Amino acid sequence: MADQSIPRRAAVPGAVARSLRAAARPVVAIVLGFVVSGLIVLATGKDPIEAGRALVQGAVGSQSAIAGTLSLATPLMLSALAFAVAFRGSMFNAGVEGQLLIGAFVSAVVGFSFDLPPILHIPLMLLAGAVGGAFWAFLPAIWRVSLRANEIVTTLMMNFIASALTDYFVLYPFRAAGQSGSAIKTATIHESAYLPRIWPPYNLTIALPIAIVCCVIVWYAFRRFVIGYEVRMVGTAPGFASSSGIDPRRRQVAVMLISGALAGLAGASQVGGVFHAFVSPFASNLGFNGVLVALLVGNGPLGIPPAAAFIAALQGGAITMELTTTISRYIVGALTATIIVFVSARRFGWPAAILARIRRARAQQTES
Amino acid sequence: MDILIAALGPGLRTASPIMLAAFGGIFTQRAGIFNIALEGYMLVGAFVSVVATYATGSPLVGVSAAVAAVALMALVMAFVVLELGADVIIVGIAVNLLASALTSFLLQVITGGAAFLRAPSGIPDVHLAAVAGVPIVGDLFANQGILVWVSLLLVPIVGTTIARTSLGLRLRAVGEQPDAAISSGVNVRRIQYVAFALCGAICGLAGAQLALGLLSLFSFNMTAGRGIIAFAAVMFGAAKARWVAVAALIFGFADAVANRMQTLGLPVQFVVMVPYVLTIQVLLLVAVPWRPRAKRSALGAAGQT
Repeated sequence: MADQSIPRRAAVPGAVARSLRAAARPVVAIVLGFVVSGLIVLATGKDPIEAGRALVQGAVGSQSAIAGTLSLATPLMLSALAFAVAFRGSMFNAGVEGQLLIGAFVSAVVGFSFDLPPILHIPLMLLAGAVGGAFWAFLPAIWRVSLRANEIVTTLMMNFIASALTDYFVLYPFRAAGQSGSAIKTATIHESAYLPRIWPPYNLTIALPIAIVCCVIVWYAFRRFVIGYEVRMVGTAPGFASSSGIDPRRRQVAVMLISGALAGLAGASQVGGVFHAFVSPFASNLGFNGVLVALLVGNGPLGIPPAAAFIAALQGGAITMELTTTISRYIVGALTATIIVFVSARRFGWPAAILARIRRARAQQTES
Repeated sequence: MDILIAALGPGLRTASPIMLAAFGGIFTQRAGIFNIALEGYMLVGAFVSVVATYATGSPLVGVSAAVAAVALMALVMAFVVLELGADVIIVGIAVNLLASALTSFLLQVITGGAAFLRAPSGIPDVHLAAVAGVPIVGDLFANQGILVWVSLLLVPIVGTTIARTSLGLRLRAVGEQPDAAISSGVNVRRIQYVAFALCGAICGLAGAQLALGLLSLFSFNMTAGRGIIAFAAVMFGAAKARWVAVAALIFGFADAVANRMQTLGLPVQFVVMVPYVLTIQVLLLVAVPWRPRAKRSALGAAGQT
């Protein structure tokens, strides 16, 4: 039901209007998310304003906080990009988490098994991570195109297999000597494989520019390269694609390989830049949080770096908030989830339509 | 072999929450809704059941509160998906995250920072003295909670509801041929709401069984992927009650065997993988005959013209 009483958007010229409109959705969702979680905090008898202040302080309140936020954001950018690439090519990759784990493990093995100069060792380690992740994504992709096995289910299952498999490797064949307790590691990677820091003394490595460059490359490839055009065609109009001689299946496998490689790279960046070993349990939920980041900006590659920084800021700030205000950091998870729900609600016009209906009913009453 | 027999009783016990959650998943799956929020439903069910039991002292109130709360939660999710047009998988991911975050947050608020909340009493066991001495049967059935029996009773109930009642027929119509359902006057949206509500109610039961039936406490993220395993069981059994129950039992026993092996210091990871590997296997095996069948129907269509 089209409604005339909603004012039409002013005609701002092309690109500016489009990007403004694209940004409006997440911004509205974020505001609504903060309102909802603020109310939850208020309901438990705490001060939401104070909580927000502590959150901002912890996220961007000092140089080390900013560095920490950016460091958290780095793997999120890559895992979000991994999800977004697959999504654009009509594949729902719910297995970013697993591909990330396999990539991280393989890169750790390369990191501690070889003695090479850094100029060779670092690229080799990152490449190994990407190949590991791509392999883990290749299996569901090939099952999908050859046997039509639903890739959402298979990638989801592959997460848990990856987690159990890497757990086994770390606990038994690859366990570093002399460890006990709950966090078990492989041997430490050689220093030649450490990712160089770009903002000493903070632990922010070249993984950050690499991740941003990946986002830009994917964005550019999707707009300008033939493969990007074909993948978009397969994603948006599969029938048209196949009747113009593009085999959708090959493109689907291709996007899954790229997606898995990016996820694996995210894992390798954590090994090379943060842990310097494969740790079990590995930093959990990077894969799923990446999905959330991608969803926040509608899978647009250029929106991913700021969105990842935003989610990372929330997570980093939450820890400070918990320490200074005793409000549990878990509220941030609730905040993120609410934002995602609001972003994904396609029929945003729905509340506006109801308001308009009420207004019209009122107007009719006053007339009569 | 001893490990396997010793795991029988605990296996049935650990299988029951997975089985219940999977039965919930059958209803949404049959209505064509890809519901991965089973995990979140179950977690909220576990939380509410323990808090309500803690507050009132009665596990019956705890179980009822869990069923009601999760059914309501599923209806809210249904509203977001059906009325606001959000993607069901994306909302499912968000619901799982929300459930994990909110229950952890509220647990800290209620306990003042403790890692778990203990319920004063759990769901009572049914002691069957008659079978206690019988070798394998006794191991399985002699001491099981009431909700274990409920989950076993639900196998035929869910099966006949789907196969033989008008609700089941409509559910299947909505899931498989929505256009046909609409043209025969079925209110698709209402059926989908019903599917969500039933799914939520049964998942609430699953959460209550996990928290009150197994441990009598709630701890952070205590579902630990069981909702996803239940989802896998729905896929494994192609949303047919019997096969879903079989899958849940296999997965539950794998879980119990893994627990046994862990106490003996054996590597458990390959047992932990079993549900996921089997589910992929089944998906691949089920997928194989699709292509010949599609070809045959294409040939048939060609022959008619």
